[in-house]
Amino acid sequence: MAESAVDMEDARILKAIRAGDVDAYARLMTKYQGRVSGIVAGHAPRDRVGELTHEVFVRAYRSLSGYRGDSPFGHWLAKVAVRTCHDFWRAEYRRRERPESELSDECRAFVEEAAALDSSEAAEEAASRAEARELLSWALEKLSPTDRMVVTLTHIEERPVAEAAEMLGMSIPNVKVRAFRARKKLREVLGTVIGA
Amino acid sequence: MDGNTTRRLERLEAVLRATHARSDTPPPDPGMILSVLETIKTPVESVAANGVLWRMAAGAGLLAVATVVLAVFFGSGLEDELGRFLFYDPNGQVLVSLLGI
Repeated sequence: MAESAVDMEDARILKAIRAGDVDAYARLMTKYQGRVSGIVAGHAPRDRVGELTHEVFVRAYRSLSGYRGDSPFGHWLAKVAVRTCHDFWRAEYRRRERPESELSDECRAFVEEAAALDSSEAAEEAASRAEARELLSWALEKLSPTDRMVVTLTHIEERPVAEAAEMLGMSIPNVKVRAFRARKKLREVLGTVIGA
Repeated sequence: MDGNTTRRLERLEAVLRATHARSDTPPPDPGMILSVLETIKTPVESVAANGVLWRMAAGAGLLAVATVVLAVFFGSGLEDELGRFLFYDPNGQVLVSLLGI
């Protein structure tokens, strides 16, 4: 049953890599580069996506011995990607290189406008604006690295708690508690802008 | 938090969700694959070299500490005091207890 979870082509490539053909890894990277970049882009700043995607593939290669083939290779790679982003934020917060940014006046005005929208179409339209990206990045910056990852996976991407827990390598109860607290914190942060 | 505020927050969250869903992925870097291959072909050397450096630094540190301890110990008269403390035993009590007699 474990073997059937892996795509036959992936299994062949993995076998070649384990037999010492390192260059065969290029085929896996070609296949999954877009998917990994997409996951990274959802969690990290745009200007760091290339560097982090590189890091994900290097990490994945070095941990290949830990991949037992009980889930599709793409799922396993997604976990590596999410954990790499988590580590990225932990390192960033430790360095504290990022100054605490303040919301621009345009963004504050946008918040008032967005909070008054009454249809999902209008929300979609508002989401395309630069102020929406600024608000998202500002609000997430106020959370701890783990809360940031948990809230992004469970609340913003609306993934099931079990899936988020698996991706982050945390227990389900821990993610449940963190998701609840992180969402509360996110609301408090947003509340300071809308004057709640 | 009243109902109106909750509704406003929910709308704001909906916008944030839509914003996140729209986050575009930069185009794939054609050089990345070669760069990864280059990195994974040379990891062991760098890790080993790093390990050697750490061991060398630890050895040098240990040697420096031992030198300082020796310099302080011999020349301060402390070694005589310690010798007297350990071996001055007019009644042979330490010897008796050491031999378990």
